[in-house]
Amino acid sequence: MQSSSVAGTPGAPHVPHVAAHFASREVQDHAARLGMWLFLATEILLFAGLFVCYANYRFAFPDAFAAASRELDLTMGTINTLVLITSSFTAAMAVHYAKEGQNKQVVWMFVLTILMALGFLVIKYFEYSHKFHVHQLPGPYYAYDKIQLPGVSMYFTIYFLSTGLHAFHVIIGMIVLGWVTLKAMRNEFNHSNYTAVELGSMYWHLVDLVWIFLFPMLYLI
Amino acid sequence: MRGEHHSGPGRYLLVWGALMVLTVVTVFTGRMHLPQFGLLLALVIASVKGALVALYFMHLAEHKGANRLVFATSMLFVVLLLLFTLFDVGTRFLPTRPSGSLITNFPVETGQAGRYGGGLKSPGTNPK
Repeated sequence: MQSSSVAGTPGAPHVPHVAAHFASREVQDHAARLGMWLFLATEILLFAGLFVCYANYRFAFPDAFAAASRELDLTMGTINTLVLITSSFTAAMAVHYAKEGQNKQVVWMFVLTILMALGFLVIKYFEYSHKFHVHQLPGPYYAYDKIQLPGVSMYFTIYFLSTGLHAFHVIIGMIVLGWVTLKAMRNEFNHSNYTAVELGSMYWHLVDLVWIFLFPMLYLI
Repeated sequence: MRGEHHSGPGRYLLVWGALMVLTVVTVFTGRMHLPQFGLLLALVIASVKGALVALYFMHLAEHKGANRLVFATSMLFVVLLLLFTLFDVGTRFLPTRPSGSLITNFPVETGQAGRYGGGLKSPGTNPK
């Protein structure tokens, strides 16, 4: 991000420099956002690979996928979806407060977001540990005796790959938001400098966006 | 200032409410296990939710054209990737399918037009 500001006189608002190769602040901010969108496009295509995998195997083994998806805990999955959507809302509110220069509120919103992310991971841990316990595991490690259909281990392979990759993104998102929270604690953001808040929260919205599609795919067949 | 429309907490709250309601709706329709259009309905609801997040939480509605172009292009390629792989899998001959697969109604074997097979014929039976 181009918007790093120098530690100026205390109390003076941070105004980011314009790098020499940009015509103006507006162009520089536009470039920062465009770069973020390009990165998010690659993230979408990364997850799309798993979606295609899922579509093919579900097409080949519809009954096994339906039976396996009913083994997932729908209550925990639904709570997790609502938690993630709410955390996306608080992340959006952080951008609003950053534009207004209310850094204390930005810190609060991001702390709430990170706490909800942590809650998401805790619920995910309970779901995972139950699956490990009953051996609903990927590929050759699948040893759940109540459902033995061709293709059912493929479902759990895709389940663990896609939710695992998503959980990894949740952890990265928590680190990114934590770093922006530290900047907000130093009172860095104001109406002319909030790119870090905006791009950090865009990453978090993408994590939410991916889960919005993973949830019906895996839990609601 | 960036001189763009400033989306306020009111709109965020509205979008958040819509996302929560849509999640509850998709859970209810998902639990009904609708046989024919269940998948379609779930995908439509997910797409509406995704569009709300992208347009309002990620500010795509008020961004410049290039950002929308990047997003739209990535979506287009996701759809192309999905469609062409499914065309391939859906029109394969029986021996090339994974064992235990439930795609069995290949047109030639069943003597009908086929749901996914289109007008394909068994290998070696094509008119010269």
